[in-house]
Amino acid sequence: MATAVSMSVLASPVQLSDSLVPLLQAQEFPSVFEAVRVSANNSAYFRPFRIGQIQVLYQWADGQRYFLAFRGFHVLLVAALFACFVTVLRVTTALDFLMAALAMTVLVGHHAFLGTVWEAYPINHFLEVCVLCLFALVLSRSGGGWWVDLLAMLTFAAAALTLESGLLVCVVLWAAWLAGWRGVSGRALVVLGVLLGGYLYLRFGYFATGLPGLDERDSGFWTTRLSPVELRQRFGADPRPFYVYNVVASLLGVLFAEPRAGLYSVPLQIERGLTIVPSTYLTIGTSAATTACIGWFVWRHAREWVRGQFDDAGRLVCVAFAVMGANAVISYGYTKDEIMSPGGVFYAVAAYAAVREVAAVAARRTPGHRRPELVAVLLLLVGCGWSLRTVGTHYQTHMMAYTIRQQWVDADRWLEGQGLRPKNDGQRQLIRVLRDDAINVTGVQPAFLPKWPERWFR
Amino acid sequence: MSRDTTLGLYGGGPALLLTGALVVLMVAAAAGGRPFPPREPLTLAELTAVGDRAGIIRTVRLGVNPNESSPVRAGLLGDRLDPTAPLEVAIIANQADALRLLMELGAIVHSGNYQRLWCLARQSRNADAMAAVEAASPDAPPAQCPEGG
Repeated sequence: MATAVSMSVLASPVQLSDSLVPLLQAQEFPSVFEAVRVSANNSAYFRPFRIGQIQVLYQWADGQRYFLAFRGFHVLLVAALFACFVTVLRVTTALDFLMAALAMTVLVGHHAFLGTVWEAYPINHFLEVCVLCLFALVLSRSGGGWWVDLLAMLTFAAAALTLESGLLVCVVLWAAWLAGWRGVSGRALVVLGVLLGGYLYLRFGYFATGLPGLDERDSGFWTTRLSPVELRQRFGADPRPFYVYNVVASLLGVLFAEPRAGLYSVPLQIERGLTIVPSTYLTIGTSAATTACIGWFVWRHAREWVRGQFDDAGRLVCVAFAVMGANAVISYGYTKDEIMSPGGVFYAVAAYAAVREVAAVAARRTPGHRRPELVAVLLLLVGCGWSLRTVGTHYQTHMMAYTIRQQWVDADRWLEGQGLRPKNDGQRQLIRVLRDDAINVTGVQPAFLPKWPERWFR
Repeated sequence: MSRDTTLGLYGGGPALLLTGALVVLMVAAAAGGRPFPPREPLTLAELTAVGDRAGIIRTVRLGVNPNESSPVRAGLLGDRLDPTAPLEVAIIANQADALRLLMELGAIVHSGNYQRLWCLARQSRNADAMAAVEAASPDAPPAQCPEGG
């Protein structure tokens, strides 16, 4: 599964609109340290390692190996994600193995995961945060030791200084400890609290980075996309309802695949007089059925949890809910599928534990009881649905690659439209190499594809 | 097989089948095989018809003359087209960006094809294409087009 995702990733050229500018900046920075120093002073977003990492790969690429550097690193991240995911699941029985296979389709087929692979940035930092969050859980489930504590702190520091959602590493470590996994010691978690305090001081005190405002970008609200101006008009006086909407929408999006990026697709399609496309039924149906299994699991174990009794499956689900909830809160400013990617990854973890228990409990029913047959049908539908969604992820990745190739044809015009021009030969060379990388690769030709995938995998 | 494994097979079975299919496709691709029936690569005219500008650049870089006519298979632009020049296809398919790109890559509007291109653009009510063709030719627009133009 990881190899298949990696092959789709390799088919994708480096994305243009969000990637070229950071790369041109990287060309101007004399060193990695300088890149980190300058980006620490940005306003609204405190992500000094983000640009620093791009700078490291840029320097390694050495003027020519951009495709290898950026695509290679992306593939490494995909491999690391799957390695951590499988480690977290701890597969020991045949049932575990089968449910892990299902969980992998939940992971890859989830719409929040799509954003981590369908566009090739210099570094996909959303994917990086997913890997670091899962790695934190691996550390929590480990046998412990001083080096585990040290790794936990380094993981938190790397994640938090890369993206805001990197703070979720802290949530993973604390939630895992509270649920009973003591791979990371209590002392380390106290130090982690100090590190978090240090992060907040650096961000709000020393660098005075602040928080992004309402007018950063477009945002989905019910069935319309509101521009920054419209957002200011509607919520400028009191943005709290908008923030609450985003938190709720982000959480619902992970659990039920609706809304997506703040937009409710069913009322949107009805409002426009359209027939609801099959992809809407597929995504909402599979997500709702899987979430129902997770809900049943929570209902079954809630009393034990209140008494502080957790088994491993319960711990997985509790940590997953902590991550999904915290991820939704972090998304208060605006909601987007990619931002919820850690939540999506942990949703797959929760699905593994919950669906496995559904199968195990149904199998214990006495012969003649009809519930096992019903559960078998439910599992088959869920399994087929998530497999289809996984195919959809590959389909959309290849379609996006085609779109990005076309965008690179107009790279020069796009730069001009942004008021940017290459300042030196190095930048011209960078644009030329990336453009050639994009154009010279033959990918999927949409003209040869049938029309039905467009309706099923939208 | 235990009952829980049997039940698990319903949930995990489709995922295993999918993984198996992906493995077969990847092995076939790695071995240089073609898991699906082979298709002829798109000609320059066909790439123009579908607006694949990256493909147009790639094909011209491989040495294909941007003025050379080639057929367009059925399904890409309605019925099959007999060998047609890429510039004409760009106008018929209403691919103004592809038209401009072809000109940048060396497709020439000359006295021999000017009238046909201009009339095709007029017939297609394609103002962008008419302007691009006019700008590329030193001649004045034709006084009249053949019937239907």
